[in-house]
Amino acid sequence: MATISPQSSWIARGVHKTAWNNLTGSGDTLLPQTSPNLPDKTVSVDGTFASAVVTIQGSNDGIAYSTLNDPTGAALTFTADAIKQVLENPAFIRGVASGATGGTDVNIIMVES
Amino acid sequence: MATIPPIGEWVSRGVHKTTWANITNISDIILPQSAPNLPDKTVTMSGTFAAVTLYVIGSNDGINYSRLHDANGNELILDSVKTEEVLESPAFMKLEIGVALIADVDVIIYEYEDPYYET
Repeated sequence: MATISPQSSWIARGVHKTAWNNLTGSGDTLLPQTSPNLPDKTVSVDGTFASAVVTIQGSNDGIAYSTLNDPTGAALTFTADAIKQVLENPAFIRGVASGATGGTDVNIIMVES
Repeated sequence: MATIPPIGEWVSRGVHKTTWANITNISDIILPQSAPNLPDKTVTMSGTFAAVTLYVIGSNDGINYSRLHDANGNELILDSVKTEEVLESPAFMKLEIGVALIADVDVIIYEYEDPYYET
C-alpha cells in the first residue's frame, strides 16, 4: 500500500503534465492534483492492469470525490490502455484503483491546457 | 517503406496545420507531432486508394499510444475521404496504418487555440 504523489511538469507554454506512476494495488492512495485553471484535460492510463479498474475522480472540496466522465457522458474508468478526454474541470482530480491483483503496475498521465 | 514526418506551418494567428503527406504503404513509419497547446483539432484524409485504414493515436509520454476518438466517442478511423474532430488533446499524436492498398493519401490536422486566451 503506497502513497503516490502527482509528478508535475510544464511541457509547453500553457500545457502542464501530471503523472501518477506505478499504481500497483487497490490500497494505494493517489494524492490529488489541482489545476482548475487548465480546463482542457486529456488522461491516459497504461501498463499492466491484471484485472485492476482505474477510475478518475474529481472533487470541489478535496473531501468528497465522484467519478468523472468523458464528453459522451461515459464514466472515466480504465481496464486497459486507453486515452480519454475529461469532461469536467473540478478543483481536485485523482485516480483510484480497485480489483488490483498481483502484477498490477499502471501509470496515469494527464495533459492539461 | 518511408518515414513520414509531420510538416507543420502556422496558417494564421493561433491556427497551425500539420500534414503527413504521401502515405502509401502499410509499412510506412509515421512520426508524431506534439501540439497539446492547440486543443481544438480537426483531421482530414484525402487522396487516392483502393483500401486504406488509418487510426489516429495519441500518447501522453511518447511511448504508449492509444486510439483517439471523435466527438461521438467513436474511435477515429480514417478509411475514406472525411473530416473529423479529434476529441482528446494528448501530448503526442500520430497515425497507425491498418490497411494501405494502392494508396497515396495525405492526412492534415488543423489545430487551434484562442490566441487571446492566457493561462
